[in-house]
Amino acid sequence: MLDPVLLLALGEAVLPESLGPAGQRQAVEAFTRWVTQYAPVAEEMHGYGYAELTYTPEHPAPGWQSQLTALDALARRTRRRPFAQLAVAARRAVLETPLARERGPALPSTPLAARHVAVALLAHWAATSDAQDRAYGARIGAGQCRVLADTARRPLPLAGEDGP
Amino acid sequence: MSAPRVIETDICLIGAGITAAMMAESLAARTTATITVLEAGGHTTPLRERYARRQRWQDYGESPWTKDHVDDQNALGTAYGFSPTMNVGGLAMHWGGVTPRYAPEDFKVRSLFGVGDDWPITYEELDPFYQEAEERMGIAGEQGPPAMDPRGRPFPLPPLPLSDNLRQLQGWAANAGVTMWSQPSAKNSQPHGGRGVCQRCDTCYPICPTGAKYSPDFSFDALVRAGRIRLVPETLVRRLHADPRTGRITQATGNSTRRPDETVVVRASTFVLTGGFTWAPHLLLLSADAAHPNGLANRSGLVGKYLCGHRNVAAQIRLPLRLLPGVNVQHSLVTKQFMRRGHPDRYLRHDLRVWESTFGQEPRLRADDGRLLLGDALLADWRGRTTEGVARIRGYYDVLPDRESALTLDASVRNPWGDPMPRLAFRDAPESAALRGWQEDELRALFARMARAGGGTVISSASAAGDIGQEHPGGGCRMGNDPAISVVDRDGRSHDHENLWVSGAPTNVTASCCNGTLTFAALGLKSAAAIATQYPARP
Repeated sequence: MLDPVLLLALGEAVLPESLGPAGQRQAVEAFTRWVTQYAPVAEEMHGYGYAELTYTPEHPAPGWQSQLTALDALARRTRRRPFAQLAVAARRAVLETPLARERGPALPSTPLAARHVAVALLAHWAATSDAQDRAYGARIGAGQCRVLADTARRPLPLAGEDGP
Repeated sequence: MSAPRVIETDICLIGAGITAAMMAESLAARTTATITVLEAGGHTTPLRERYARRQRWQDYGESPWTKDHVDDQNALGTAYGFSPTMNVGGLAMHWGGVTPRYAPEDFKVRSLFGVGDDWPITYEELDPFYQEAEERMGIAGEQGPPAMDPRGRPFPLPPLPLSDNLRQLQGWAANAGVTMWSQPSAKNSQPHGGRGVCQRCDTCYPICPTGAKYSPDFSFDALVRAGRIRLVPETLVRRLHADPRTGRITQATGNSTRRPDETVVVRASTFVLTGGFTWAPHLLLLSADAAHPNGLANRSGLVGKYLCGHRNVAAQIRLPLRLLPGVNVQHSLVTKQFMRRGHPDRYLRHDLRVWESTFGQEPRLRADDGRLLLGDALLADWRGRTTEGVARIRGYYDVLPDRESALTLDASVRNPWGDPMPRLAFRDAPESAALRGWQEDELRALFARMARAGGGTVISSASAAGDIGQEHPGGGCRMGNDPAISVVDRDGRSHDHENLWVSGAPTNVTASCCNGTLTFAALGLKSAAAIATQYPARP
């Protein structure tokens, strides 16, 4: 659905370098799976307090693929090289133009709320338990099923951290 | 048109939510009567599929509950306090499992505070049924200070442990003069009811993937397996029929929601409406006939009236604490300190809960100076904003209902069989309407005092959504001793029809200032105990 070469190049540009190449690749692959398994017009949660039935939006992949293609075209136009062949700093410079249109400073909480594929990829990664652990420097494991008896124990620091 | 499907039973419960589940368990244990539970919706996501459905919800926001509503069967006029959910288990298939009791004061606000109306029962009378509900569900709870948190017997399960985050927040609250403890919850802190221990998956609402959180399907499944009840899903009861001479309900009629042309007739000696605050009064109003032109059980004219609930004020408070949110995110601290004594000057009673929070700590795409944040710069910015803690705090405050806080039939919107759908309009009693601004200011002032006591700052504050509905709603068939000003008696029995009962949320006189589900269940169990006396006892 999404050009894998361009998407990986985008991931290398927007995801934290500290993930390492393998970590970035895994994050891109996870995002690709998310896109592949997306189901448009699925019923959304209508739990307590919500009388209206709502549905997931149309498939974002065609729009995101167009954005990837446009990124590559912009790179060729302004840098005379394909996006994937640019250094990371140059890729980020190319991204300045499309991302200038993004609303507000906050990263959306879900890829579906992103207007650009770069932001969608970042939002997908940032929603992971691993990303939150990195932000807090501890092995919290939010959103993962864990042993109740460990609740009272303060999460351990990530390797290499002094301890939160 | 084919012949109707006829069901004969002793006791017929209409609506298979949590109140019905508790009542069915109680009745099956107490009597040899045959028990049938009717439900308009079908079976939703079984336990074995909940991990996978949870993942889809986490990934895409999809509803984890399949086939959980009936098309064209929905309420109008409010976007809050109501859900279109119709399935075996009702709304409690996706409840948060939070189970506070009302306070003793809730049952006598007129006597104690000169506002609203007293209930016809006391907290002490309901205490054994609270206990029964807690034992049937398996409530993990911590006994609060007895003066704040009276109860006859201990919680059946040990409390959910507090995380390091909540321990720190508990200390902060104590320094601010607020005594808080572990929120009672219908989540197994040890194996109970054939279900395992909570694994703090952080998704109690909307879906517990392990079954550690109680939901009514567990009760129904066990009762059906044991042959103690008959569960009839996908059957919408559309009318109750009363004998014009005796007033007794002779039968209920309706249609299959799977095969709309199939009619269903249910004959029983006792009918119990367990469909919640919307569908119980709706059915009574729909059942109007020549002898009861305003609907059944409606001699007082109060069916559908006095819908009650509460609102909240919430805030996010930044504190100089090193919190690591995500340890058990839906668990909270609670206090009843402000439910018991109320405000010394004017009427204000509220609960208070505190959670860990990530508010204001979300990752950002742009720095304050507008610089685009990508790669490690984004992560460094994110980390830089996690060094202090954030507490989410919320108080539900008691809202007294007006008589015209009401459910009515809206003839302009009908289901496929032509029945008008219910329209809900919540309205505060004049005393609550007059106090609302002051009450919400008082809550915000409390939050500010607590923030200052911890060297922190209120960084966000919000009130519950306007007048479009209220939380944990009840009422519509309020209980009372006087048939002129109530629909059912202290046990939930209709004043007008000796074999008709309304149980759970609709019978609430007021809705306290905390989550209502446990009280709805306790009221249902009180009804069940009374109904059971009319049938042979189970040896």
